[in-house]
Amino acid sequence: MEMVSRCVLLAGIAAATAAGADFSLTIASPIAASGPAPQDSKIKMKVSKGALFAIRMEECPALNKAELTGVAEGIADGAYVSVPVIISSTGTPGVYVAIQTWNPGPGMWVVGLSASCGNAKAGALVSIGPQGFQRESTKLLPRPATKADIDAELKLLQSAN
Amino acid sequence: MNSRPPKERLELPLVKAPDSIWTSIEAALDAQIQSTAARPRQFWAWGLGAAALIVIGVFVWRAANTPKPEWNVVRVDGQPSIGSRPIGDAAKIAAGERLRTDASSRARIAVSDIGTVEVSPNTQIQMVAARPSEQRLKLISGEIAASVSAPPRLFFVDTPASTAVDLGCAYTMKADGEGNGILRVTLGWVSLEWEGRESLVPAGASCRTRKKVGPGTPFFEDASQLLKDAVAGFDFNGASDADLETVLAEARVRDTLTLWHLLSRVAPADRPRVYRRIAEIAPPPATVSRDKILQLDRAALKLWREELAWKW
Repeated sequence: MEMVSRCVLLAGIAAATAAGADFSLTIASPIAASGPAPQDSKIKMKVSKGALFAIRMEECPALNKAELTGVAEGIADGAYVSVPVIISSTGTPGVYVAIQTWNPGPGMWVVGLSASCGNAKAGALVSIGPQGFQRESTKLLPRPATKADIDAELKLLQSAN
Repeated sequence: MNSRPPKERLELPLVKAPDSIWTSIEAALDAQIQSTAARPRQFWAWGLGAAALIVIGVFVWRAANTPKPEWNVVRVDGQPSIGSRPIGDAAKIAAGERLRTDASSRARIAVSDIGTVEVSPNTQIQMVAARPSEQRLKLISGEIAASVSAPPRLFFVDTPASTAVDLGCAYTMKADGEGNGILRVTLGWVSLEWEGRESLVPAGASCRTRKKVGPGTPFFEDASQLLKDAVAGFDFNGASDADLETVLAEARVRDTLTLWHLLSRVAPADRPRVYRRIAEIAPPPATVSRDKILQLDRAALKLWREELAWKW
């Protein structure tokens, strides 16, 4: 019996390890997506103004079939607002930037991301404060972000401020 | 009425012409030959002259009608001046001209159609070039804030100790007359370059510049004061081991920006320490080898920097 439970435990650890290498997102400052063009480079790409953060798809072997969408919900001037977020490709496969579509100003915002790579799904909740993207409060999800996730995160952000 | 000539006329004796007449005839013939030969040469000379005049005319007309490399300047506050003339509400600045602001004046320059430069009080700048491939100004002293939306390496700001190369960004740059100053980047990236030394400065980071040294090591503004002071000591005050030790001890994940630059600035004997510290905080990707980094292999360094940037 002890042997069986050990096997189950090991299988669980193996599954968790395998899951760690599953499709996921990395969120970072927009500078990660642009990078300085080296002197000998012909690269003309640069991240446009209004880029909130950079997104990189990890462990996605079929990037041509990958999809990524985002929605931002926030509280601005006391009103609850929901707006789409533009997800812009950077030219590097699997690397994108989220572009702000609302007028910059005071307020709290949470961007919910939903990504798919074939049948694999991933998501993230990214908090945007007055200074922009807040790395510390970003949450990575093993599934697409739902409206409930975004609302809960927004409430958390509100209570923290 | 067909009268015959008088006899005496037919019987005139033959007289030999004087030698001098042949000389004058030869001279006349020579002159005729010369004048015949000179006519085409004169024709070509006149033709060429006319063509040259047309070319010069076209050149002058085009020069007069081609838009001059100028930037538009607007007065924001006080009384900025270009050269010795105060500008009104708006003016133009041409290559070679200087714009000055005093303690109470400010100006805004439209750099062609790629961006703007805000000129702070007590600042002096000179316009250097406004070409499609190069927009360049010199910050003689004072402070500017640049916001540029253009392909990388199109907009340049020179100071006596560095050149700020725009890589798609917004930043402020402050410098005294000798080039001592600081660059603060608010968007994108700036490359600070001087005599082969290069500092890559992303948004949120700063980099000091010093006379005869050039750009220092960049650091994030939210780094600890201890780290920032130690970076200044290392860059401009003898690169002591104590300063390096402080930087290594104080470094957070984001400060791998500073450590990455130090890899190529420390003595070779200290390089493994810097590598070890970065690897502790942010292990290199499998494609980046320790040996390559210690050899300062450009491709390996670039690869690691690009991966580290996802943590900055």
